Amino acid sequence: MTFRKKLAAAAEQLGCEVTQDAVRRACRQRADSICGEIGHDLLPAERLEALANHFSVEFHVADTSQALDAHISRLARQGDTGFALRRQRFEQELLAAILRRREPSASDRRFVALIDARGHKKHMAFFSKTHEVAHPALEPQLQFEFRDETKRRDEWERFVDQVGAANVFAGEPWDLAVRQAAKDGLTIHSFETVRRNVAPEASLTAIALAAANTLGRALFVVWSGLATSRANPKPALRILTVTPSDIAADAKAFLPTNFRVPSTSPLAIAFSTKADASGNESLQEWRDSKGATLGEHGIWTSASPRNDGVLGIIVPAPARRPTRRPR
Amino acid sequence: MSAEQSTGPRIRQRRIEIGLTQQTLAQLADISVGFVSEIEKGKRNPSGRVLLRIASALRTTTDWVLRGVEPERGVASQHVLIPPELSEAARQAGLSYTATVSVLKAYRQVVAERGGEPEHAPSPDEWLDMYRTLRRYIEG
Repeated sequence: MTFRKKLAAAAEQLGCEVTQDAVRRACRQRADSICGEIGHDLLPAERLEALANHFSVEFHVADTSQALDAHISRLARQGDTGFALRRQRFEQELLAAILRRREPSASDRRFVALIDARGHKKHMAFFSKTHEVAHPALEPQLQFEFRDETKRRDEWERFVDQVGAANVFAGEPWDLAVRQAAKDGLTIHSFETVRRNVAPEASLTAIALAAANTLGRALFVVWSGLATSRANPKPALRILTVTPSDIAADAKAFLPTNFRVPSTSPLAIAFSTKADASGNESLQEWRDSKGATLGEHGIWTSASPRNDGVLGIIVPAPARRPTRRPR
Repeated sequence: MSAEQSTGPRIRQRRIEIGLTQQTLAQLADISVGFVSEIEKGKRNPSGRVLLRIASALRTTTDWVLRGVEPERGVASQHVLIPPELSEAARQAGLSYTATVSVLKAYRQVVAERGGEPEHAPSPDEWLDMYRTLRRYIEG
């Protein structure tokens, strides 16, 4: 089934236009209604549980290989063998999978989602749950006992990511916390406060992106570390991963990976001083090995050293009043 | 378990069915053991939020806890279309029809994933590998 057909199926069951915006809005309205039956001040984790309950999704989170194997074996012995065939894929980049129980008892939830929270995947576990709950919400055909092969799968999975996050990172406590973060400045510290107060289960990356989406802001979460390039074999601080908010992605705003971080950037300052740093900078200072720059774009950067790298939040201009200027 | 049973006894029966003590259920649902006991005896009504936590801890839905509602069952496929690659694998390995359909159903049971490389249509060898992975579950 193509992306367009899946979108049309979702729109039909939601009673809305066949556009991504309309389907997202309708999903969110339905999520608000479902959560509202429980309470009007639910935290994101409670919203997730309310939605999982409504769509009959049971979560199993595996933080060790033994736990993963135990979940898979137990379900297989009950006749639900789907995950047993996915075991090898979990050793690659598979983060989560959801199956429909073949013969649920009266008291069983219909769907089972297995979340791989081993190692580096642990930080994505909460977001994976929001994603998996969004599938039965968006795809009425999942009630049938078949699995379709989706063309343009990446595009649909990105859409499911957006819907899942919008459904869960919502509600009054979330909105209040995010508005406060906006007043305090969209920094790592303000996002840590949001996480601590309303969503401790989620990763900082998920919080920052969800907050940006709630505010309708373009934002990038970047991870920097020492790396080399073909032109420069000596390790230098470079952008390793870039994750844009929905607005940034829709605007096709772009930060290249493996780009060398200039010494004037708060990212470099945080890396060398091992202390948080933030400030305005211009992408004109970012130059590649041939001297070409990323253009005359102002950005606000908030950086925090983590393990052997630096986590950064980058917000495009308008420029913000700096709390600390890079030297 | 019938719909005529009330919430408290349903909670108790499900708790026992999945092997939880009242203490464990209390911990998972973030309520006191005394509260669990009173709910199971029908002496207290949990709030919506508490009910949600209880349902989650019992791996069931609030609908079932409150009303003993059976889950909707999807419309079963009338015909099982076996891909030609699986047919070839079944022929090579001498698989029974039941075993062949079991492998196909297991493959299709996962309805969505997050992350992971896109899958291609399995080859006969890949279908055979799947059968070998599942053999102990299919053949008991």
